Amino acid sequence: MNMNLFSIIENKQRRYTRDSATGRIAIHSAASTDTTLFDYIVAAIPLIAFSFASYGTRVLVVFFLSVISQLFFDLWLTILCGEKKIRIKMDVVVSGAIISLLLSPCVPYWGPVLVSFITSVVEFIQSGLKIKIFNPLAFGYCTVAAFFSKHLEIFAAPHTPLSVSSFFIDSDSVKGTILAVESLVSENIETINIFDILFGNRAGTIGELSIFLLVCVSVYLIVRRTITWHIPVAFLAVAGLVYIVFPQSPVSVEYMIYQLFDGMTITVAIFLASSYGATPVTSNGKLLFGACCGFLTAVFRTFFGGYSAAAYSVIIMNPFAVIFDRLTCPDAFGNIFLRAKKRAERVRSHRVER
Amino acid sequence: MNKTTVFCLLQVSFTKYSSEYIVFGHGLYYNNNILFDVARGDSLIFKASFGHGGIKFTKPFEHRRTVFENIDPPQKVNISLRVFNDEFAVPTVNVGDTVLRGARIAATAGRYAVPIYSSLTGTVCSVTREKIEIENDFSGDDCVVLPNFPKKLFESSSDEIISRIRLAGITMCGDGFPLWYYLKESVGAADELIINAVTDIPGVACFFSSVLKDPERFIGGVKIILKALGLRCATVAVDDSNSDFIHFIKNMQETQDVIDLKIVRSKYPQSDSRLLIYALGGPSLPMGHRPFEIGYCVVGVGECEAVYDAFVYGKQQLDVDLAVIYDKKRDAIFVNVPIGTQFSHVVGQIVKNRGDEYRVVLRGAVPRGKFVPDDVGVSASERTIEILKDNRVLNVKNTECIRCGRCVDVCPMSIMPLYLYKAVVNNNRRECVKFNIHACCGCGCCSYVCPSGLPLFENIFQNRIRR
Repeated sequence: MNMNLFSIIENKQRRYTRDSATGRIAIHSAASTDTTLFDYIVAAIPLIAFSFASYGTRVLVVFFLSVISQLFFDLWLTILCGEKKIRIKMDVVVSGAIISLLLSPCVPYWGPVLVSFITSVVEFIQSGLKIKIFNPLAFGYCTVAAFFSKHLEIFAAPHTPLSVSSFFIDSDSVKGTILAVESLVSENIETINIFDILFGNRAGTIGELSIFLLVCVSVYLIVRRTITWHIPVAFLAVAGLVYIVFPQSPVSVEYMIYQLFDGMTITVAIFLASSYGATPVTSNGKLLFGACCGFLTAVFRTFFGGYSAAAYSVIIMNPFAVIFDRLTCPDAFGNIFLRAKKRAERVRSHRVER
Repeated sequence: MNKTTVFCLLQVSFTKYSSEYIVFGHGLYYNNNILFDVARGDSLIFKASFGHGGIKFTKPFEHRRTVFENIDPPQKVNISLRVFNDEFAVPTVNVGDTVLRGARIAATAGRYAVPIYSSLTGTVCSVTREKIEIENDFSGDDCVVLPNFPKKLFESSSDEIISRIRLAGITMCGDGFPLWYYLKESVGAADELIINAVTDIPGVACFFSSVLKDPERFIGGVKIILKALGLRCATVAVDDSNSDFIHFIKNMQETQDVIDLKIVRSKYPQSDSRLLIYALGGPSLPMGHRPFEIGYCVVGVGECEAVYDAFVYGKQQLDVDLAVIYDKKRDAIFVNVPIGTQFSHVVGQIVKNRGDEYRVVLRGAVPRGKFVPDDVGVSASERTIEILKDNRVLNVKNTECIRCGRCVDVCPMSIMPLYLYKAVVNNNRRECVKFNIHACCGCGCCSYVCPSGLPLFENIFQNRIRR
């Protein structure tokens, strides 16, 4: 086992690595893959703690279940592939933490296990083929949400202690209503208080109770440069624009705000759409990717409904990431000079011919 | 809506508030300083620097220590005969000859044609095509100097000045390009002289102490180069972290008419001449092209001082000022060593209790530094070495790219190192051309920030040279 959290936090020295294949030595800053991904866990902790305060121990059970099942399936597949060196990978732990953020605390205990299983399998297939088409996490979540949406979309009213021992929680017993599209279209919209949504006095997934906390977490991630601002901002801006242009409610601005604060839109924008792997790397590509995701989310939620629309939009846009990178490949330094020189030569040769 | 349309909109909005903003091409200028260039993906935030990319070191080393540390003269020097690229000087001495310090030991008739001088008084012990080894006999301070410059400076022509610089064998910092050839190309072509006094790598600025100690050498050198180029005024570019240098230059009366001080943001790799020109409002120049092609001439502070020495004292370029970094917590140490001193000697003198702890020597500083074997001699273009503890070099297998995109964010040349690395490893020429491999300047920013520890710039830059 090769993970020491203290060394990850305190390791501020530069790293000098010697490539075993070529013998070439490269110099790197203190930020390694583990420290970069560790920021996601730091970001997930306050969200889980807030949810724990609202719903009780069942939140922690779901969290540990998803992390442990992720680790288990990863180890199992590693051993199955015949690798001898077994170590805990930080990205696996991060995947487990994010899975728990996407799920409701009332989810049956097989929920996180199933999502983890599909995530691990997709990740192993992609790493074996050395391609990154889908975000494995979004793929795992969307697959389970497509078949078991009835079981995943049970929400409890705020400040309801949930029983840890019961495997499955009946939706009637907890009586939580979320801000679904149906309730927004009806007159219910007047009764919802914006402060309740901002400070978490509402029903929702483990990750998305308090919008204020989510914004704080995203600011932390952007300041630490784990993610950039491009994807979340473009995502939410375009989705908001579509909601305003096609309002399904007489109060269009409120409708837009409630739509953005619901259905894991912000959670997905921060944790799924911005995560590494199948997302563009250029800044213009990120803006384009975020805008497409936001547009699809808004269209799905406006015209088809559905709680997991944001995650589906990420899955649909993921294969386009590399294409966006190629489309938005920046002009290299000095290319203007080279083009001007080439043009001047062409003109000169033209004159000589005449 | 394309980039030009966006720019027209911006132009309207900016000119409404201020007439000092100028839009030209794809760039926005303020008081002739480029703010950003949409074609390269710069953001809208004000930057008196090269714009997109680069690394800002949060805690730079202290580099204003004015005292040079004395070290023992070396037993032996290895003087490289490489002039530039594939041109080698032909030795004019044989094994067993006794040479004085400053005596000519090799000469070339090639394109660059720079004479090479002995940096020690001693006996020649081996002569090969690539290097001459001279053993020190510690016989005293006798020195051969150049003949006096026959004319006064204001009477002499630029050809005479340049031939004197060639005789002194002065090479430029960094790639070791001969200064006389550089100036010869620039005469007539360049209409702006930039003195590069930017310290972006921590610890590299050993010239500050010498300028503060004897400013006449620096100013005199600038005047001589201005005379050679036929110009009246030079621009000195300094980064904002060196406030005492800025204060010193501003308060000197005699610099008022020859020096125009410009301050840029301290960000690595700002000292690259192409990026410096760009930061001062010039056009972007690709790799492999020299600044005279766009009307600029960029010269370092060390070169100016060496030119002054060659004219006034008749000194050849025999010594190098080195900044040595060997521990993060201590200041960089400055030493003055003869050209060709082995790295092992410098390291051994500085780190007395060397043993197993400090073993790996970096030529140049992080992040551009290259690892060298100990017996290689210090060349004239060397400015910094970094000594590392051996236990800090880890034997690791490179992990996979996680596509975090940090290399793209920091690349000052706006290329995509992660795709280029993949193309280089797969030997895919077409992809290399598509992602502009020719533009790589080898600054090492991408490798430095890579969390997966991939040798990005090492592979890309090597492949670029081979191309």
